[in-house]
Amino acid sequence: MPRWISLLLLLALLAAGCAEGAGSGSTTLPVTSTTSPTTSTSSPTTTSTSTTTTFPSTTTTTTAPPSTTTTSPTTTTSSTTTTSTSTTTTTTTTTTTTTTTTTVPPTTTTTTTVPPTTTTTTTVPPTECRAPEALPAGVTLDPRLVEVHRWATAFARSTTGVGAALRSTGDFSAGWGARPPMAAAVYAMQTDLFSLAARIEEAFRGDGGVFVPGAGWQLPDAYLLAPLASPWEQIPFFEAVVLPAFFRAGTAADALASFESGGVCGFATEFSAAVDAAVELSAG
Amino acid sequence: MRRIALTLATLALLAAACSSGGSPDIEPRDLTATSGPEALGLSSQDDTSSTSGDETTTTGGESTTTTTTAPPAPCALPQPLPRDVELDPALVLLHRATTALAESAVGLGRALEAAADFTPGWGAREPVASAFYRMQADLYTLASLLEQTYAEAGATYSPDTGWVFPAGPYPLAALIPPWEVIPAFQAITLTLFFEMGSQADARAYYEDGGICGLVTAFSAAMDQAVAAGAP
Repeated sequence: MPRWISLLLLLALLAAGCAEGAGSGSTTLPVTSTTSPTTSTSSPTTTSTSTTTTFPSTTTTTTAPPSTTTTSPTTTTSSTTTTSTSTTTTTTTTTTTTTTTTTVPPTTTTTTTVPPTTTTTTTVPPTECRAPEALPAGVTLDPRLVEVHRWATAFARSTTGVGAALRSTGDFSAGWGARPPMAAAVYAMQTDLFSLAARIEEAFRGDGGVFVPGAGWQLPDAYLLAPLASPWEQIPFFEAVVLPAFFRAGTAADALASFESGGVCGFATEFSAAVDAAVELSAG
Repeated sequence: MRRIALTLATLALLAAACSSGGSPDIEPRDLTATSGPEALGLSSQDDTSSTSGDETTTTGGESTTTTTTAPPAPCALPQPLPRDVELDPALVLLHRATTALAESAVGLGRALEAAADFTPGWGAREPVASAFYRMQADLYTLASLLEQTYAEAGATYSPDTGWVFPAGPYPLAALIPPWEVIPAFQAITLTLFFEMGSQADARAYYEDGGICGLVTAFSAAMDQAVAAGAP
């Protein structure tokens, strides 16, 4: 500032001097300087005119804005700062987003829980509760065995239906076995089981078999339907032990385990195997 | 934080929607369906003896009226059918099946009296095992026969509406309420029954906890159906 002031004073003095040398009014000096350069060139004062070129003093005055400009760069700078601050904020937001991304895994966890349900539903049933093999073609079988075969097939299917219902059940709070979709599936399985049991019982009795509580069926020697006696005798165990344990399961995993390896599906498989054995003996 | 909360809330809603929506109803098997095995005959009504135990129980015959065999048990049998009255043959058949169920339930009560070992698994051991088998066989025979009878009468069933009958009074519809209790009987009542750890508990549960309750409900419904069906 002091330099500016002193420079201004110096320029003022020089201008005053120039003005005096040109013999014109001090106020017209700028006009002269712009419109008649010639004037400046024509006289040695031109040097001083050349100095006038340096007159930036006026220019300086006009260039006063530069200080504004300077300020505005400052503003620009500060806005840049602001911008960079906002950039920083943006960066922070990005960090937050990253945190959100960290929260996403639960979604992934939830999603991973769902697929097994869908996948298992379609895959497992056919392989689990095995139905009897198809009856051999071209072989005449005991009509009662054919009937037993049909009911055993129905039982295997409805037991498989219990598995399917199990996999679509969401609520395993107490009493789940009596609520949809399980209720109807279990009912169908039970109805088929006892229809099958009745057919077997009827056939056994018809052929002179006698059931002795505690000892089981007393059947004729070399009896072709004899393989059916064992699973039939297992029915009370299935009803009084296996099913109550099944209905006691408190989670989907426990219920599924009970169904798959706790004897529910296994019982249907056992019946199917016995029917296959009886068919094989009869077709023999 | 708001975005996290929003995400979690969305996930929770999705989870709730998944759990409530994705469970398809499985309808009861249609016993009249041509694809399935034919409806079974009444094993116990045709039999004159049951495997339920030491004592031969008469369950067959028209005027079965095994009322004489009925001990002072809490499982009530249906009233004998009125004499000299023309009744719907389906009603007569169902009456016999209901009587068979009540009698085998009485047999289960006797087996409980005779049992001494109530350690876990007692329901699968004699003398309870065969008595219980008989009761279950009779129950599901009755259920199947009921379904078949309803279907033949033109009724339809869906889990949402239950049984819907063609217009007009249908006396055998009185049996619907006990029929609908079967799943709960199977999944809840019997599960609790076999958890009893003593004869006294088992006996008490048998009498008051729903086993005789279901049987009595069927018998009462049968009596009601007979009353409504008798001219």
